[in-house]
Amino acid sequence: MTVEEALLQKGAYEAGHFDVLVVGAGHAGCEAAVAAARSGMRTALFTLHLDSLANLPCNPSIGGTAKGQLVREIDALGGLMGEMADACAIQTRMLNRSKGAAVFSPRAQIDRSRYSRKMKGMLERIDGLEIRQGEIVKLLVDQESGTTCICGAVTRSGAVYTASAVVVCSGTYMQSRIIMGEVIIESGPDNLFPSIGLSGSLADLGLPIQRFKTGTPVRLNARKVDFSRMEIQPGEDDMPPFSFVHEMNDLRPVRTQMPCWTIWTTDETRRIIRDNLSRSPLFSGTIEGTGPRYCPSIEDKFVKFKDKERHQVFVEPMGEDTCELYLQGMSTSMPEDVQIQMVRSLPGLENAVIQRSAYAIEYDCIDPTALFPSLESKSVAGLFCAGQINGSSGYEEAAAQGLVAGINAVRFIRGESPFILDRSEAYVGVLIDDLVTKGTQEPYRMMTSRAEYRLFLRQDNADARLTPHGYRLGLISEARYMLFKSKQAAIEAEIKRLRQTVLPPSDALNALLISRSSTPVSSGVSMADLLKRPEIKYKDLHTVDTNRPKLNEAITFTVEVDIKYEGYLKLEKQKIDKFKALEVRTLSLNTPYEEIKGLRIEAQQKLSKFRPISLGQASRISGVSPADVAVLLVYLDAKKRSAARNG
Amino acid sequence: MTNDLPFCAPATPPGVGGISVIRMSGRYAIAVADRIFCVLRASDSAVKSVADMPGYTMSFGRIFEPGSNRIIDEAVLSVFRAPHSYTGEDMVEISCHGGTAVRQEVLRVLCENGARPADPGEFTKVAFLSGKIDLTQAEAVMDIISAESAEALRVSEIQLLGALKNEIRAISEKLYDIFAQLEMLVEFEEEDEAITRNQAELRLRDYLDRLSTLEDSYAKGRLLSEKMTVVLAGVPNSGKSSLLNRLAGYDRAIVTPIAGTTRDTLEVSTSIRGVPVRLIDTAGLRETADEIERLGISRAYDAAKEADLLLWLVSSADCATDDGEPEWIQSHFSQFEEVANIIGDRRLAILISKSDLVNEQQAERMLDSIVSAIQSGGLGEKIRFSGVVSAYTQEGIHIIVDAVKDIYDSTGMTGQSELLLMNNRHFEQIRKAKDKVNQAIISLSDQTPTEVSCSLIRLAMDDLGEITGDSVSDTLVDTIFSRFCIGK
Repeated sequence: MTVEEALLQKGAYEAGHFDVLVVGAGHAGCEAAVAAARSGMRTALFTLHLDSLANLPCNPSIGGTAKGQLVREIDALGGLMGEMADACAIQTRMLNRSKGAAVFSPRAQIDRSRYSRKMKGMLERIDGLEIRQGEIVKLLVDQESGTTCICGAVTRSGAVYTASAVVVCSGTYMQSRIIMGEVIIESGPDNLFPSIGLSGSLADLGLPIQRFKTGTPVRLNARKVDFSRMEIQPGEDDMPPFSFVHEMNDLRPVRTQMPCWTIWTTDETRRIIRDNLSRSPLFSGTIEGTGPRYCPSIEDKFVKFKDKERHQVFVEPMGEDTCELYLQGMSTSMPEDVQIQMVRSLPGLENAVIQRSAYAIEYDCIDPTALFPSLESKSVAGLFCAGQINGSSGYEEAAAQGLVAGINAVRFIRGESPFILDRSEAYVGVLIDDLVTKGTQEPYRMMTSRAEYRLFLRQDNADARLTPHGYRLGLISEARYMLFKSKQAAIEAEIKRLRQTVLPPSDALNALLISRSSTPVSSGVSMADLLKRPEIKYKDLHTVDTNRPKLNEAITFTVEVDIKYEGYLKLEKQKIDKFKALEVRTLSLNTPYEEIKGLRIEAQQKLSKFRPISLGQASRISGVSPADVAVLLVYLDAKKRSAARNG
Repeated sequence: MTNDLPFCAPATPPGVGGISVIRMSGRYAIAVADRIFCVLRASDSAVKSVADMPGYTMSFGRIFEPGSNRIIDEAVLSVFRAPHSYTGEDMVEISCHGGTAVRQEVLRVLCENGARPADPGEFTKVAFLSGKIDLTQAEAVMDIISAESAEALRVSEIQLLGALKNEIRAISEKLYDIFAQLEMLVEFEEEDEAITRNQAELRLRDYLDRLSTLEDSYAKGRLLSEKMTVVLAGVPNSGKSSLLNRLAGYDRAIVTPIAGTTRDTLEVSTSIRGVPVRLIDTAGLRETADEIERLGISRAYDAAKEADLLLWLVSSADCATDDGEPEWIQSHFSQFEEVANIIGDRRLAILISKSDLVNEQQAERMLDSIVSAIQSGGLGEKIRFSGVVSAYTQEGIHIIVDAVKDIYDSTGMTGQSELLLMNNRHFEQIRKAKDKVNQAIISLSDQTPTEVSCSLIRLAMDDLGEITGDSVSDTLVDTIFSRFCIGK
């Protein structure tokens, strides 16, 4: 539909022009809108309900394995989520402390209503950004010399906005319905309105629609809970904040840590689920959408892993001002009466009072392979999609995409080349590349295993990897960039010092080494070489390291890992160089794949349909073989040679 | 566009032979052939020209120069039509008379009438690009082309059938299994079903052994595809060239009684009891002011570095003393030492040559004293065998022949398993993968975090994947989900 046609509809009116419209104010939408507005774009952000802005309708937490890395990356690029999470954390922990540094993952319990309120207040104060309660039901397009271009959007109340770019972050709201046993309700999450019509508009514009499913557990009142029967899981006082700015200024996010608890399901839980399986919509066929395997409902877990007798459940606080608790691990789509029985079969919850029911939710999203790595639609210029609409799950995954989509909407308007992070630079890059190159058959969650270069993509060095990008994009202030530069300089200087400081063999040193079950030395040894021993830690050496400068822990952490992992990082680096060699070979969007001799027909069809931006992306498309990539390499070389010949 | 010109090249090795085969491939191969070939007899009388020939048929006819109609040769021409040919394109094979001159004439008229010379390996490359063969197969084909002995051909054929690929895939799959389980340890807290680091370490050791077996097979595979190198060395006039001629079976080297006749290394390819051998004769080692001779001597040292077997010759004439230490030991030991230090253990044969000049006991005595001098010089480890030979009477030649066969058979694996690495690129990839698996084992045995072990195994699988063309990680997440219940 064009603007002119939209204005002919009943009740329609001209509501003005914006550079960027952002549809949906969840974690993706907020990042996108702020990135655009801070880049000087007149931006409007639409939400179905202003008090549910940046809502956390499922788990009241941010971060965790791989997700914590994403939050650090968002922060390093100049996004919002890190600072917001620090400001609203009620418990913080660094997960995987017993494992390696690459999977150290910060996680925080979040006061969910504070998070939403704070975000609203923050957005309201940003110049050039207008936030507006209203439902976008239609996208407007124009035809310009054979290309379909976005040009605006219409709200349910008839407001016709024109715009140069639109970012759709519709979350789980499109055509959504909530399912509890036999009961089906047309609704978004948290009893909010669903979004009706927008997915039809996207489908009309050529975006392929898929249907996904996810779910959430019950919420309880803490007053009827017997915590003495649970294992307490306290927070950690010394967890560094998500935000690099807070970290460098030594600001710890949480004053008083609220605890979480863990319990295990009982035989009774198992029996109740087994007896009521026929009432579960998952097994009765009511649910058509594909659910996430990593976050299965409790009935799913018992069915798929028959041998496992019990499953762990986490009991988590929802905020400081509320007694509400969240039961992680008990997501279910069972009927409400079964839910009560199930919850009361858990230790300590015999008298539990449910405040909100668990439910499964089905929603429309798009097949993300319809997008370029910039998150722009391949069929409509200027239309960007981010977050759960792209088949991902999780607040962090959404925020990361929102930030990239916001940045690229700006670059699109300015006629600049898109900002694309590759798989060797960031989890953000892995996430987006996975989505747009391979697509997804279930809600996609970030995992560290998905990153080939995991030893590089650590939470501690996210700033080193990404803050220069954020600065260049104008999302990192001059002051913060200076702070960043001085941190990097300090890291470099300390690594150099440790390499150059040679400790002579001494009784003190050898006693220290023996106490750490490490081989004593008989000749001089550099501190760096000692640190490469897996059993020796940086802080162990302080007694023999007499000239040690006083350094922020964020600095010494990176110093230690970079030294310890030096050899391994070098191996990964070689691999990265090879990877990059294909990434930089760009493929024009109108490459005539049908005419390239030697490409298999399957590959020709896949490539023509897919339109990869680089040889690297082409190599990751399913159905494109290494031999096809070799053919494309030959083709690119031949083209380059003939171009050179023709001058 | 040059890309559309058919390309041609001889398919038979250079040199004089009964027939030469010239291949041509490309869209216009048949049209080009028609310009220079006139059909005299074909299977079907309807066939009047190359264009009439169906695929997989032959015609007898004449190759001529189109302008002058001068006849170059009589030949048999075979036609293969796309896609049913080696390269997947239209192909023509011309079997003409052997001999360099004829072959060059045929290539010339082809190239003057619309064809171009092929780039090295272009037939195989096009076959690969058109999906006719995969990368491992392409490399095996290249090995077949250069395989000169029957045994090498057999190994190449097996490889062509994908046996190497199967073994590498099998190892990769096992590595992958361990990798996926270790990933569980890294990714999720307290997964009770996952493997322990100890179990992973033990299992990795098994696969390290399998990689080692493959790696070791390269020594034999290389011999099969590259020939075994036997170097003859010694001081001037110790009879090296005579022995070379004897082993080669014909007079290849000029033999004179004048010391220093051989001034450069001289190479002969031959077959010793079915073993393809590269025999290298070297300049005699001595202090010399002659610039050319000095260059020759330095080449002799280069040749020694490549030796699978180095025959060190000592002329019986050089150590003819009645008692005590032969004079040779005093005057030439330093040259010997220099060479011995270059070569590997058990790669050296000490031979008393020209045994026909002395009696048996004398020769044995000389040999004993030289060998014991070498042993007391700390170089005993280098010696594989010693003996007394005469190129003239053929005495002792069988010792050398036996030793060549013995080294060949004992290198790497013997007959029961035929899986040999022959290609240097494969060897390098296997070696790299093995090195990383080894590091992974070490990382699992100390306090290095599991994520490092995972990184190393992933890189090792990538190394192996570069041989087979498989990529690792697409299925990882599926594997994890299908095996483990993930709650969070």
